[in-house]
Amino acid sequence: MRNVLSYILVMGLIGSTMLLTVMPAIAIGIPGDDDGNDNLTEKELASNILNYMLGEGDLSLYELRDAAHVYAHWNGMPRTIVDTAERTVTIYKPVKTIVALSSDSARALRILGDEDKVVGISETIKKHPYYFPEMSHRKSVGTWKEVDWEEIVALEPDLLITYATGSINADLAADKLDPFGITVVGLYLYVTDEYEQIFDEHEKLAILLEKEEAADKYLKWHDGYETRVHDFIAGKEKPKVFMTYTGGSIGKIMEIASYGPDAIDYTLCDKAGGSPITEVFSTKYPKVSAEWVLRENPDIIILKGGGVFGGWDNETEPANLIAQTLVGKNWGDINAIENNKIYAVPWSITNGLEHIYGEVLLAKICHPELDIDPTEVYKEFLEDFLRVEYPEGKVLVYPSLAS
Amino acid sequence: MEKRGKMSWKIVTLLLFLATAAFLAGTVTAIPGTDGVTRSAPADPIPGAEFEVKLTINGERPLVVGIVETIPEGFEFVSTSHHPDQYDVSGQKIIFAVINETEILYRVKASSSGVDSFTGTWIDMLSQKEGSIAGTGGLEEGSTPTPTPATTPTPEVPCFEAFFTTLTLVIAGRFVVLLRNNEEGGRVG
Repeated sequence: MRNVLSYILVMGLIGSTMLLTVMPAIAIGIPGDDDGNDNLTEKELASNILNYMLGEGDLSLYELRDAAHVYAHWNGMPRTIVDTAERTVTIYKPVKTIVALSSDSARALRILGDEDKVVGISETIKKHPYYFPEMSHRKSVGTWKEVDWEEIVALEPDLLITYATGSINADLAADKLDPFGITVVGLYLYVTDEYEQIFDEHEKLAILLEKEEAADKYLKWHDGYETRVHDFIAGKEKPKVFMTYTGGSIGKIMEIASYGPDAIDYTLCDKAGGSPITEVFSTKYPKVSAEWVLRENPDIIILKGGGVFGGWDNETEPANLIAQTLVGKNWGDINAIENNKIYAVPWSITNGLEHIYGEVLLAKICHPELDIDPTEVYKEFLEDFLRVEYPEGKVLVYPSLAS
Repeated sequence: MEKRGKMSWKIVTLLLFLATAAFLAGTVTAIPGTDGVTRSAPADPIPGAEFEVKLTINGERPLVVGIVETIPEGFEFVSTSHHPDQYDVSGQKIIFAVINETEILYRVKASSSGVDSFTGTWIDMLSQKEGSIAGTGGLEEGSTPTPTPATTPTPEVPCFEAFFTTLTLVIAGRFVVLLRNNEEGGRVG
């Protein structure tokens, strides 16, 4: 019995390995581009149409329609971008099916309105049906650090979106999927080091998916608020801000984590009209002591916490986080504490495509007279771009700001 | 008074529903590609004489359409002003690839013995639409031809429109019946 089970197991393993090795490589190129010069001419398209109508062509109607699309809408040329992994990524026909390996790419796809093309997802997306009502029901192919390549190949996606670096980086994915004609693009679609990158990535994805208009709408919305904040804080005195996060401050008196000038949180605070007290540090995530913070005497303390997606379901959790942060720190004489200006804010305010909400929120904290309601900004992001209903009662900052 | 309030609410709801239906019907029709192909030909060609046939591709550019015209037995294809690389002739079939053009002219020599009908099919390469060529002259097809080559038909927008319109009318009808019943009930009460 044992031998039989072993035999079945071994054969199963061999079979699954064979699937990846035996499946034939798929030719890439524009359908109907008979001379293969990446330029579908009118003559080539016409020739393929005539052949098809005569019942003699090599192309199926499906492929012929792709060819017509490329000729009519792409000027007969493929679409090419350079992704964040510095790989040249070329699309030869309209993308109709996508595997998204992060909630960041899922968010971008919602904003671009291409969620219906998603056939495969990561576990993170599956865990957030509220934000991804359709996508979360698609086939899960693994996690951000481990995926089932055979499952991905079986889904036959035109495009796989993964991070530029990391466990399932773009180069690794391309090695696995290129032989099957599956195009891989490496985009983070969250803010890593600089804000420009996320807009650049969003536009590049839009080029591949022919969704430039939707990307433009998002960028205009973002830029509108950024300009308003920028204009409002111009010339105003900047309050001193200390930014920390829950994991780096709770229970610690020494080595409290913060953000140096190279960190995006620092940049966001600066853009929002705050003056981070960590300006003097050269490291990205400097560690400071409670005593150092006391000496610097910030006007405002920002504590980042919570989950990947914005906000808490009630005020108890952020209130507890603030209380735990203050334990044993003797910060009673700090301006921020005296004036009740210590705030808990969600992680998502700085990194995701909704980070303009974070900028407005920090600007409102630093300059309460700013005439923008941060909650409205987040509501617009959810309803106009992610196209989900705003969850009433969500705590997006604690304590709440005076409107 | 309260009854009248309920009635007006229902009328407003009905009007809103109809307005939404009209809006949606308008929205789904606005998809790219051709709206169809029509043929113009003389109603009574002289036997043995040449005459001109005009195919009109309705729609806005960009247009990419494949057309198969089948001319009657005994008729002969003579010429066309269409681009030489974009048509082919096989027996009684004339095949056209139409790229960003809205009109095709071709000449045919009529049979010396009697008149038969032209048939034709078209496939829009930029949408999921395909169909038969409608005739506006005398030499029209008698029956709906089988599309050539065989394709897997996809749901077409016109079908959806028909379904949606029927659904709208049924729901609207039910609403009217409901309103009448309520009205009568009000009188009784």
